[in-house]
Amino acid sequence: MAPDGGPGDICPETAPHGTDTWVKRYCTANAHAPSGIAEPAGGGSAGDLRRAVRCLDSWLGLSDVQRRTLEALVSEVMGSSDLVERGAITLSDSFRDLVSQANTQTERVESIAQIVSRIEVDGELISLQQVTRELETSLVEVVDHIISLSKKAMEMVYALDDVIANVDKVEVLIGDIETINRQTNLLALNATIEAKRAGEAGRAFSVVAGEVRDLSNRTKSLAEQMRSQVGTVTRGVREGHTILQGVATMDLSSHILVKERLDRMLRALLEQNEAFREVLDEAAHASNDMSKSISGLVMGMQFQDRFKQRLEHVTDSMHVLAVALADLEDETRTAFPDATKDSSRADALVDQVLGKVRMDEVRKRLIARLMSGGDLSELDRPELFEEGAQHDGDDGIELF
Amino acid sequence: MTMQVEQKEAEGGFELILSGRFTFTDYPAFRRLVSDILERPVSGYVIDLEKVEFIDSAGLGMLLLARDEADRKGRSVELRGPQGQVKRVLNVARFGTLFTIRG
Repeated sequence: MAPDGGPGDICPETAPHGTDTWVKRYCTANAHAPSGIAEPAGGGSAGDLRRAVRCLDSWLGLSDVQRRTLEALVSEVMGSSDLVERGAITLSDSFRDLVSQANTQTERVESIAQIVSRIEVDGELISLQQVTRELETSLVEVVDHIISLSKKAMEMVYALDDVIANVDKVEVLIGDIETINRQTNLLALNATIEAKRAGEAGRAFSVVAGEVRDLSNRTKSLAEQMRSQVGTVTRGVREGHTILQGVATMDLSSHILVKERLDRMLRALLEQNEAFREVLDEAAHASNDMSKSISGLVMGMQFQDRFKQRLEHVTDSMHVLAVALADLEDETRTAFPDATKDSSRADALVDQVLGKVRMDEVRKRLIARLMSGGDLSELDRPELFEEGAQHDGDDGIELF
Repeated sequence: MTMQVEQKEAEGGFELILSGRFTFTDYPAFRRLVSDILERPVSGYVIDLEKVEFIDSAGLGMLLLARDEADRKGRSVELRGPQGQVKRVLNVARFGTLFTIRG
């Protein structure tokens, strides 16, 4: 009950002294009410009855306001509870959306990582590491071929050197033949001279000596041809040497640079991959943490259930009070058909109640309920609460 | 500038110490010294590359021929101490799979 003002005069502490005392005190106070109907204290039984009826009139007015206020408060509390419930559901749904969006985001990051680290070649997906490795393998194969070629060329060079060594030996042998041939030629010349000296007897011998000189000349010519042929072979071998030098000699510096660059690229790709993986792990962790936090939030939203239950207890109790007041009003009217509702005190109570309500839309609903005797079911529709809630969002609390 | 080739008898066997640039023109001296070593009763020898500044594919070919020749005669060849460009070339050519390379 209101702690101050007019209605406070109906102080419960007087109750233990019995209804009579309560009625007297109340009605004495009521003698100063705006109605202005004053009765002399300690009047006869008719006067007591009139005072009692007047008290009842006041009580009926007060009870009516109390009942309406209780009903209005029940409706207000239930409306607020609904508001909180809808808010909680909306929040929970939003939180779930957040979780699924976080998961989608992680999947996107993962697919980006996949796309970035792979290329499509002939319909086949190949990782960049694989590309680099293939390049490196190709380079190593090229180098292998170069070295294999150089090795064969050097083998050929060694073989040609052996040929030259043999050809040198042949030249020495030709020289030997030429020396022998010169001596043979000299011998044949001497034999011819001796045959001339011998005269007729040496004629046949002279023919033989001439034959030998012919043979010697032919040998000389042969040796010259051999020398010439050997010279050709030697020149050929020397030319081959030059060609083989060109084949065998290759500076591999550029290959080294390419190989080392490929190695660095491979390392960089591996590092990049590692970095990607770390980011993905972090994203997955963050997403997981977010899911947990949001699950916690959704759990936390269950306070609304308890909140609603408590409010239901409150509204049920208020409803019981309202019904009790209504019953007592009915009983009073039945017992005292003359009693009529006196709203002078009730109006003061209404002013006090409204004085406590600072939100404009709640005030409007309360006023509608307290001032109107008609059907107020329209006022309980959730939309009114929703509109009010949005309205408050803009204007905040209106100070009285 | 041609390469210097020096033959040296060490504790474990014979060593062929090369220095300078190892290219095609160095083949006669290299070949002769390799053949000389294999004439001796040794189980193997070491080619010291520490002072070699540069080697081309002909040089690599000659090293491989030296290895083949040693194999034919049941001997072993080790490479030792390649530096700089020589080390990088041996790496690109994966000589580590063909030779024992120390230091």
